[in-house]
Amino acid sequence: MTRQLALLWCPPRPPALARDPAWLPWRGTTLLQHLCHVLAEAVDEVVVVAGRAQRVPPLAAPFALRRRLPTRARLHALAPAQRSLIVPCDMPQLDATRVRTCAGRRAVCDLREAAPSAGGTPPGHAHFARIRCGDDYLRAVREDSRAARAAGSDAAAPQARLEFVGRARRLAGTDAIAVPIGSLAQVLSHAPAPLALCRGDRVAAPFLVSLGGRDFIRDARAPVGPGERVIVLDSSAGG
Amino acid sequence: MAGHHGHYWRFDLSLGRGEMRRVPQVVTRAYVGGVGLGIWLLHREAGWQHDPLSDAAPLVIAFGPLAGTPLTTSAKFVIVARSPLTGMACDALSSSHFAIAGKRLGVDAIVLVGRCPRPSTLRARARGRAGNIDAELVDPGVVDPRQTAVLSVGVAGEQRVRFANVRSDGRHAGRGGLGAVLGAKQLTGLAVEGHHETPLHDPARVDALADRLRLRTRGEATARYREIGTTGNVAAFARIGALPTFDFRGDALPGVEALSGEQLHETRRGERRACAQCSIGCEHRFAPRGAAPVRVEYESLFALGPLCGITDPDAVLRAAQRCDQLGLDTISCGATVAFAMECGERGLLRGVPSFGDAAGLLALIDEIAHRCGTGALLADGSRALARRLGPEALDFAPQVKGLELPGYEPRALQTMALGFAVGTRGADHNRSAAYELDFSERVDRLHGDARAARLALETEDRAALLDSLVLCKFVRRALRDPWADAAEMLCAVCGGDWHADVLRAAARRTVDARKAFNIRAGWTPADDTLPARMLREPLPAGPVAGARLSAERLQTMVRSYNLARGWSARGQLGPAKWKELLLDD
Repeated sequence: MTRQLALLWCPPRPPALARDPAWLPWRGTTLLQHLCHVLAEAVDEVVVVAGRAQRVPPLAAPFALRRRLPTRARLHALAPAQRSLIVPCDMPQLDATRVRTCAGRRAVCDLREAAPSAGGTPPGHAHFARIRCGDDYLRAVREDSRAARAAGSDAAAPQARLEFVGRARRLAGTDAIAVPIGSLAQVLSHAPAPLALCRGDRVAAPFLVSLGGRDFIRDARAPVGPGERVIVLDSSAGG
Repeated sequence: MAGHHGHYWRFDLSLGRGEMRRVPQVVTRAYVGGVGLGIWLLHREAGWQHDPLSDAAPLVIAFGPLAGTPLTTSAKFVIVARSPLTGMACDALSSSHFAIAGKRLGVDAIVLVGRCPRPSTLRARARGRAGNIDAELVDPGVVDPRQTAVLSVGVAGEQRVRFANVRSDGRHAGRGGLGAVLGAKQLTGLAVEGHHETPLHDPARVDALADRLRLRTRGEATARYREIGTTGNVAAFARIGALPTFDFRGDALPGVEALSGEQLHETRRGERRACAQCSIGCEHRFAPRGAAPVRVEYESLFALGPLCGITDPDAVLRAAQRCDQLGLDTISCGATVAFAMECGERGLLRGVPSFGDAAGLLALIDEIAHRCGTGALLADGSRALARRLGPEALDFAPQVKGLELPGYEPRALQTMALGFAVGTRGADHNRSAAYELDFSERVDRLHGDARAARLALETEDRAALLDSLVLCKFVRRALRDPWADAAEMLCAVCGGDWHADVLRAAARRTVDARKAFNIRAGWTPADDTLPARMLREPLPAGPVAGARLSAERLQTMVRSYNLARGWSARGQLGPAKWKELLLDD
């Protein structure tokens, strides 16, 4: 029997999103890890493909990581003589049922190019919608949260945590507050007065923002997802 | 040339005699002053040829063209010598009224050679016209070391502890053990008194620039230094996985934020002070329970706290205070103790405290300064201790070229890791500000690359500029463009045609001259690396757990850095570079 392989591709950061899609929070994990598990339910093997210097969330076994430049030819070259599915990791609504439907239709099925019209699924259906900007992501999170509540989950509305360090903490008068998810600008707007953390679409110069203690970010259009820690530091941290 | 006196004073402690020597104007133009002049003089005195603790070893105290002007933070001086800790070039800066008084001797630098016949203080007074200095060696008790225009060493310097500081005005010129160089010369202090004002080309313009700079340093750009100081780094670094713990092993340390500046401000009586002629006032003092406030910076907190597995603020404040009293560099002291703690844990060393043993740390600090008990083993620094214990220990000794790493976890700040590896002084956060790049979106701090290496070089050049003027590095955030602003200041102070390109060339030349000194002193490309453990093991815990810096990646960055400097890929200077240093007569 032919084995089915899924190549889970980490696209580079879209300018309008201002974040790497692979790292976006989704259902308590990252989008990349979530899709690894979705694909694993439907195919025999999942290989994550990322650019050479691209940062990728930690992967647990049995998911393997291969470093390749994300051109079509190179990706397709990774697909061996077995049936392969190429999936971008910015499709949060993709589920195992849809993956099974797409898999097996062609030798190499590339979901990045067009959603396959298989099993009655029309192109552009929400399950294949990709995240191109912060609003796409936030809309998807909110819909997912509403759907979960409608299905009986007692989960609260999605929230992030805004933490203050250094001068920001002294000005805020508190360590941290819980805030609704939104764009970074919306999240930062909840900081207590007199803190003014944004100027236009950028984080204000005296401050620096880290998401989860990993990435520094100045683009205030970037979305902040559920459970994320937004750490406000002094831009002169260090010395 | 205004701004400079055009001479340095060379004093032979063995003979008890001094003489004035001219500083060629071409050298002043090429090196500006401060660190640049200091390293040039160290070359001229053939400092690389001598054991740093020998009689013949030269030690240079250099002043910048801005010292003695009303420009804020310009009351700084530089000590330059071959480091007894690293064997390489070392320059240590401090802010103090000594800088103003020293320049009022009518000199741009003081060079000390020889050795006092017995422990002494050198007292130097300018007399009459420029060029006349009365000097005498007096008993240490004659001059009060608390006077502002006095340099002195503590017990650690007298005992030649290889990470002993030189102090003045309650501040310390640290890193590299230049206090031991003075101690080896049996010079316990240097008191200066003079009346030669710094000549100014355009006094009205200098006043205007000084007013403007003072105003800027009281604004938003430096607010963080005033309001919380560098102690704010503890919590910030902990949240982003950049706070080193347990001898740079990187294990989680719950409760570490009790040492943060934020919490110290809330739980301890504090006060704020400023260095001589400084309008920023970054110095924050906190009182341990039942004691007077202690001056403390992030580096002291990190090295004597989490690096040793200690989170008790009282213990860390007391340890920092004790280091200051004894004249020990807090980074090297804390890191060497942390290293010893790990050696003890691994069974390589007996009789040392365990991680988290605050009382053991305090006792060991005194033993190090007095070179007694177990402290005698630690008084030469972590590299020397590791060499005694064997190759296994050298693998995790927290040092580069013998200088202990400051509080920036290299695996989490990989541009800074490069700065440490190539630093001519060793692992150094004051000569390379590459961490600024790591704290930005301009580089991927967890994946250093060639582009980051080229950017890192810029921060090193800027540091060399500020250290040559000399201005405090905290001023840099109040400058619009450091090169253009510095050129404007020099035009007003010194006269002549100073512009950004001349200063960029001078800064690069200064870095080249340090490297040239190290090459002469025995540097090899293999010295430009990090402790092997950091290049082998990923960070085990924290927000960037799993972060890894391989030896190959670091060496790729080092090569890019070397080429961007105009050196060979392996870091050697070509003939044209040597010629630019103006080291030949």
